[in-house]
Amino acid sequence: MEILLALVTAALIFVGAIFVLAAALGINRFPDLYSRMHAASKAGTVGSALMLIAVGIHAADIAILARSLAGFFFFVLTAPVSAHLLAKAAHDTGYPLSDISVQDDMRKDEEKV
Amino acid sequence: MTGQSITQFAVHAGLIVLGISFLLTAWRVIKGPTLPDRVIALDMLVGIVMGFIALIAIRTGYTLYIDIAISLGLVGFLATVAFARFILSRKLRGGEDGSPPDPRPRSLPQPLPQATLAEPAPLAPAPAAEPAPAKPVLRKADQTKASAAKVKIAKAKAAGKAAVVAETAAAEGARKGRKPEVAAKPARTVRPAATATPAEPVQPAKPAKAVKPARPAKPAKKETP
Repeated sequence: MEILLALVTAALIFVGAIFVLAAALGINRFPDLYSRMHAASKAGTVGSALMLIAVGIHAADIAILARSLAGFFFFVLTAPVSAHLLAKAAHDTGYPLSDISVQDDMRKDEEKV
Repeated sequence: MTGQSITQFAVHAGLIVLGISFLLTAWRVIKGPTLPDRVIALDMLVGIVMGFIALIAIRTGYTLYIDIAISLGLVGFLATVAFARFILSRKLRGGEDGSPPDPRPRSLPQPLPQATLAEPAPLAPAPAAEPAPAKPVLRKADQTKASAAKVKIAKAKAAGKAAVVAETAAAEGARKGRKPEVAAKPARTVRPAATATPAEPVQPAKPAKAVKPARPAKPAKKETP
């Protein structure tokens, strides 16, 4: 039982670390603010949230697991909101998309209006 | 024992990977060409530090670190939202990005001062005559708005004083026992004087005081006998 718990915890830590590393690579490799935001707000959030769940499972206590789940849901719910707000602010301010981007739907809406 | 060693190994490996990703994200914070790039990298750094705190909680056994991680996430969220509002309020600096900035935010405010110039004639030409760089267009618009507001206030004051003077003249005419027609005539003479002067916001108050008590008194005396 203890080994199973340790294996689950180790798996969560590894997967979270891989997610965070992928997010860090994406935030350096992507050409554009709006595509970097995807890496940061999805992969980075999931990586940190998986590590929080690993803490809760490792402790094997319902109170600590509840707290870690609360932190998980809080972080998973707030990170996309902040990333969306930042992207919308940057787009409204006029930061350009990268050259290889194909389509900008919000620009079209503004031109129509 | 083996379970503990497994978790310790996983924690060490996770700390190494998190350190690498932390350095990569910090490199984006340093290098990032625009401000939103740095802000999103800082948000990512907050997430990575939450992962660090979680791993330290597993390693040391102090589960109270979870609360620290939650509060750090709250602070990071609020900081990102505040930065987003700041970016929204701040205009795009030219040359901040490698590519030429979008011309839309600069081409829009230019017709606005011209439209507002027509109404407030006296005060607006002074700020509009200056050469127009890209940044202070908003400030000029605010100035023209402020001048328009001043003119409106001056108009309102002049109209109010004219009305008051007309009322006082009517009251004086009523005291002297004359016809109400007499009170109506000075009101006509006063109002064009008040409405013709709104181009000059400050001056109409003073001559209105000096002139108005004199005018309604004289025609009242001349016409009534």
